[in-house]
Amino acid sequence: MKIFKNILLTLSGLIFLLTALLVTVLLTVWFYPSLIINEDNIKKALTYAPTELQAKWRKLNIEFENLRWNEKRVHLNSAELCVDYRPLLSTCAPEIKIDISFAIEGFKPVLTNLGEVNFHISHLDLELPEKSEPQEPTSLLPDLRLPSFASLFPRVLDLKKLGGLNITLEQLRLHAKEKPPLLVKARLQRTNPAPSEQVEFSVSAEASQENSFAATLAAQGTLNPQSLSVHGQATLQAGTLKIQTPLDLSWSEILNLKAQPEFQVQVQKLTERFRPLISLNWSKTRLELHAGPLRSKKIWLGGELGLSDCYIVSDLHADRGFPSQAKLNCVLTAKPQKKIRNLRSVETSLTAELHLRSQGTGTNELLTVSGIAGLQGETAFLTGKISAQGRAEIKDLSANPQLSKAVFDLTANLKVPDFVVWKDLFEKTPYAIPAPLHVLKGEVLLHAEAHLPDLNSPLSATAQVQTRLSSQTQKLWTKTEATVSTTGAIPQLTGVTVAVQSTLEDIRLEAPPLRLEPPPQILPDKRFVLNAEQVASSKPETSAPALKDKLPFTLNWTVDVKTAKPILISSSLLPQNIPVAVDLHIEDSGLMKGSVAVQSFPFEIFRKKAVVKNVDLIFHANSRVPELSGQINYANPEVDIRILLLGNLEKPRIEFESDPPLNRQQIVSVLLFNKSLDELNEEEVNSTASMSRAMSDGAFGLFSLLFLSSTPIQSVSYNPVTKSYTARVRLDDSTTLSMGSDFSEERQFTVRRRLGGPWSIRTELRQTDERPDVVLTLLEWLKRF
Amino acid sequence: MRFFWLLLLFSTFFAITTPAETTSLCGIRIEGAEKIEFSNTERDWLCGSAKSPAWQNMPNSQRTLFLKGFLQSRGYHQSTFTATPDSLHIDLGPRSTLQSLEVHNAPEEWNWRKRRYVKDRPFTPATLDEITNWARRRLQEHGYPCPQVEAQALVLDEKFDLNVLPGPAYHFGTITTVGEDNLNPAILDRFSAFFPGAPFDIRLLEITSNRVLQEDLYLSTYYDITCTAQGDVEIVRRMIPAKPRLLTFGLGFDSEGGALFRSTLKQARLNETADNLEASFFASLLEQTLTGKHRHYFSSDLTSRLHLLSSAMIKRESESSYEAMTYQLGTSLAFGWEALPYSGMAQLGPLIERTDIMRGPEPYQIDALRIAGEVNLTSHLYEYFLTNPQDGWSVTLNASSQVQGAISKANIHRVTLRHQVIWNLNEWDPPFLILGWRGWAGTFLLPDGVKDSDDIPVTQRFFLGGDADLRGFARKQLPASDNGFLTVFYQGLELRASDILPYNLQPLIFLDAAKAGIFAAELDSAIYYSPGVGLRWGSPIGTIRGTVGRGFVVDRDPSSINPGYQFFVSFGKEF
Repeated sequence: MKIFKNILLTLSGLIFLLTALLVTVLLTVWFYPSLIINEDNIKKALTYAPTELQAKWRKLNIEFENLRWNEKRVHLNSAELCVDYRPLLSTCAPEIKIDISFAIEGFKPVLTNLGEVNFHISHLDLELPEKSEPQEPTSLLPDLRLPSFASLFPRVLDLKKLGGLNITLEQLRLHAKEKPPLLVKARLQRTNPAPSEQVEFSVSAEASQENSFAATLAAQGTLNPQSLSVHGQATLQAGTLKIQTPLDLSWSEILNLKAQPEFQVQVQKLTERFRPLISLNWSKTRLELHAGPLRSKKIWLGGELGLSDCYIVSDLHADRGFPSQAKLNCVLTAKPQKKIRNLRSVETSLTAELHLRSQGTGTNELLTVSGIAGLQGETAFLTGKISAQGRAEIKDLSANPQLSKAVFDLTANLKVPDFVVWKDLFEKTPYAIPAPLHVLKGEVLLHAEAHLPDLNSPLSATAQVQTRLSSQTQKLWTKTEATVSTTGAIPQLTGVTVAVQSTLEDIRLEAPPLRLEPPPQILPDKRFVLNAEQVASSKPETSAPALKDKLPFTLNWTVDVKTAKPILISSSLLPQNIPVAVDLHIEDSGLMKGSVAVQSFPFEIFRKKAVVKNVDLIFHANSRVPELSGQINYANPEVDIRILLLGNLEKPRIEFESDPPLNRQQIVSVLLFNKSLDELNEEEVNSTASMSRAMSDGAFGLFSLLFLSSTPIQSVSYNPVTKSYTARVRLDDSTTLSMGSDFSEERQFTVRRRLGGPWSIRTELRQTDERPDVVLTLLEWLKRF
Repeated sequence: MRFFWLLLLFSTFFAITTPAETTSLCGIRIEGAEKIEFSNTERDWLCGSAKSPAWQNMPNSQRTLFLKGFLQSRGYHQSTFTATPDSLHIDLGPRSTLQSLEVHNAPEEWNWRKRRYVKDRPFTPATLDEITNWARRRLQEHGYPCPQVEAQALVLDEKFDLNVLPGPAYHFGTITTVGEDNLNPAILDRFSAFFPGAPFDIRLLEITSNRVLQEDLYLSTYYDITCTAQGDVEIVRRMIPAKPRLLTFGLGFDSEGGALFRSTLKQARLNETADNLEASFFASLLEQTLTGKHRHYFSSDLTSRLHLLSSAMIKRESESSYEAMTYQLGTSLAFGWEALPYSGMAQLGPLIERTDIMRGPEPYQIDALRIAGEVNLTSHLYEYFLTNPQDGWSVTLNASSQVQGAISKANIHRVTLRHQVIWNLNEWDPPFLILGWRGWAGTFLLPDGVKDSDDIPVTQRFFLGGDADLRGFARKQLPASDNGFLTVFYQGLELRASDILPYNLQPLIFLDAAKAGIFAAELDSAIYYSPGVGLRWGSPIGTIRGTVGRGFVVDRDPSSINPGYQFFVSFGKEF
């Protein structure tokens, strides 16, 4: 028992001694901390630190001052302090001065004074740690609630006790794997040194990342426990985008940010600068973003385009902070440079309203989105309304979001009241409406509907376009219907089928003006290319994959074009209109079948009244070049002649039939000169033969036939070597004109060369007994009888 | 400092020599090295036409498209277009000219690298069409009737790239005839320059057409070549029949004979075998001839060229050394045939002739009955290039014999051989240098020991000098005596540059040389030669040639002529 008592006493004494020792040590450390925390002890402690940790300094003073029994003031003064803990950290601070006071109240340290904070860091390299293992699944829906500034301000910090503040960071490098380092320079300095209830400061910072962005900030600010306000300038350059903006930020209960960024956009070769006014109001319950007016005269060469009244307003979910109800509004303004009838400015407004609802958490989270959107405007440019409404459910938001349900309806009713406006709109652009369509006036109507009943049903859409356009000599009335349907559920769409049916109801067009002279080269000759590489790249096997191949689903389309009434084409060379009927079926595979048929119309061929019975271009499914089938009838009291156009479009062939049967030369003779061969003079016979041969050789094509048929031909000559012909046509009683297919000066190989009329040049080899062979040439007058 | 001044001088010179030209047209401003002249239709398309209301005030994008085509047809392929709201500005850029030509897959027998006129040609679609047609034509001349040529023009390289697909080689087969009812088509085969199995050459078809025209059977004839997608070839002969009678009056000129006149009356198609009868009158200052000919095709094979040629002729000649009237009446059996590179003709028959010498060595009258024969071989190329000689050859052997007692008073045999060969040196296409070689030799064969005979009329004797042989001597200036030669050997060379001068003028140099003898089968020691120069102009109405030559005689007989310079101008004559 005594032993037990002695042990107990010994232990109690030991505990007392230890406690007394601990208290003594603590009191000693508390009242004389410099005994423990001093430069030498830190150096010694560093010898036990891991080898990766290296620290050195030129000067390191830590001074403690006892202000009260429970309050201390600490002066830290270091020079050229460098710390390395590679690879995570490497920094050097040429100067650090901190004057801080704190007290222990209720066993908690409380900041009682912050007299001076002066950091000067020459470089700070930080290696960002790699992403750790995936965390618990969290919702993709962002928590956008912004708390009040006061709730985030540290209560312990009494600004009235804050003295000087000067933090300079000359270079901060943040390293992350597989990315260029992020470089930051920053300087924060208090500008009102006298202690007060609020701190005024200036801040300047630069941040950049190679091939990514560069940003600068220069601002003045005021900080108090209730609010923060910052005014300054910020710039950002990312790629070709350059933004420079004044910043005006105040944050108390609500964060208000106003900025007017100036940024540049490259439009073709023109650079456009924008300075929209952007304002953001952000609180715990609401997010509002307004974008001010935006105008450009360079995007659209025909006038000025602008955006105004654009805003997004969203209520934030009370518990989870995601946008639960959002409204969108934007007005597009187009102001044509050229005065257009009834149109000074065109405004089109876009409105949308979205509702988001979330149920469940984690992997069971289900998001329901429902909304309605509308686009409407009413001007001479375009009138109408597009409205859409739908509802969608997205599940498994945290890991792999999937669309589980969707219902969608879209209706569009649009009308171009006057096509001229559109013509003027695009007139100065590369997409200008070409002649002869550019003179058309009238309206264009569009009605479209799309409906998706559920995800497992195909999306079906229909569109109908009607043109009611006309001009003094032309008309373009068409009706086109398009049907779009999908196969497969919408999220994993497997195919889209588009069927277009166009009916050309009433069309009259003018062909380009032609004169009795060689027609000009209409289009650039595709045989001319810059270099061989261009030839190679234009070949189908090396060309870029077609759009169809890029799509993640199969696209099938068909186009059917039919004429309700024949298209009438007028030409300055023909007194009558040419009626053309079209019936074509085209598929995405390149298949084209059907016909383009010139229908019967009176026609003058070589100044004789004839009838074009038909000229059909027949597209066969298995042929690249359309077949040509045509017939022109000419009759006089003695003979009925049929000119047959055969072959294909690349190699047209002209054949003749007649009743009673005549041969080709006789028929050409009748057509050209209205005489039988027996009645022709030498020149006419020669012309007949030349024309006939040129037709045989394909040198005299359809266009030549049309071109020359409206002129009285005096003579035709043909050079089989160059396959070129020359026709001499009589313009009036005193004027003749030679025209043809580049008749070369190469002389024809012929024994008797016609000079016109009964005259010719005859060359012959003259052989006599007495003299050597000589070639004799005579200018001959001849007559056959 | 010197460099600076040189640079300044060069810059000033460059600025002066290449002024910028501006073309302004309805809001279009074109700046470049030259002013662009647009055609009326082009102006209509760019500026609109009052007659076509729908084609006025076209947008700049469309005018740009048209302008690209218009400028391309003028050799501008790198023009830059700048559109402003009110105008269109075009910087013409460099004008491309063709610098090289490449032909791929050409058959070995066609050496396309011989093509000339490639460099510095306008780099336009028209030139590309011309070169493409040329390639197609050359393939048709080398056995491929249905060639395809794919053309590509590389602007930066200024190069035409032709990819040739010759198709299968073809040999002539059956020809279909269309367009003649009255004449058996077999008759036309008499004129064919080709025959079944011969390699295809489009020129043979054209030679055939011209032979038919020469015969005046038809007004026009030509051949259609039809190529099917399956590679089959069909050749169709088409023709326009002529009225049977033809009357012509022709005029020509040369400096020897002065103005030439010829009138012909010809009756073709006398019967089903296409016999013909022809009367012609030819007149010049030196010669007047009235001729009648009748060709009778008696063979049952209508394709046969065998025929009987009967002729009668009255001719008056008035040369410096003699004046004579010749009356001839004869008939001969004529035959012709066709081989691959040439055609042949032979004829043989009796000929009665009376010659009245009115002025000459001494007036006399000679009657003779002769058997005359001739063989002629002419290459197809010689025939093809007859109006513009550049290739081919022709050889003619002529012989006649008269026997004492058969109207003739003495045995006299006369033989002549003529030839003409023309080369396109280095086979440039078109030709650059053309070398011609011509010559003739003739002699009389008389009984042993006899070197001359009074029964040889002066019209049958040989004379040298003139445009036809020795161009440094006047017409028939040799020999100095009026009796003429009985033996002659002449050779001439002529080198002509086809296109080094503008306006189709072709300079030429020549050298003619001859030896002759006043006795039969014997040449004198004298050598006659004449170098010279000339100019040929292929005018639109025929060839005009002028030559100047200087005659020389080696080992000249003192009593002979004294040669000098000689000028000739001819119309229609060729070497």
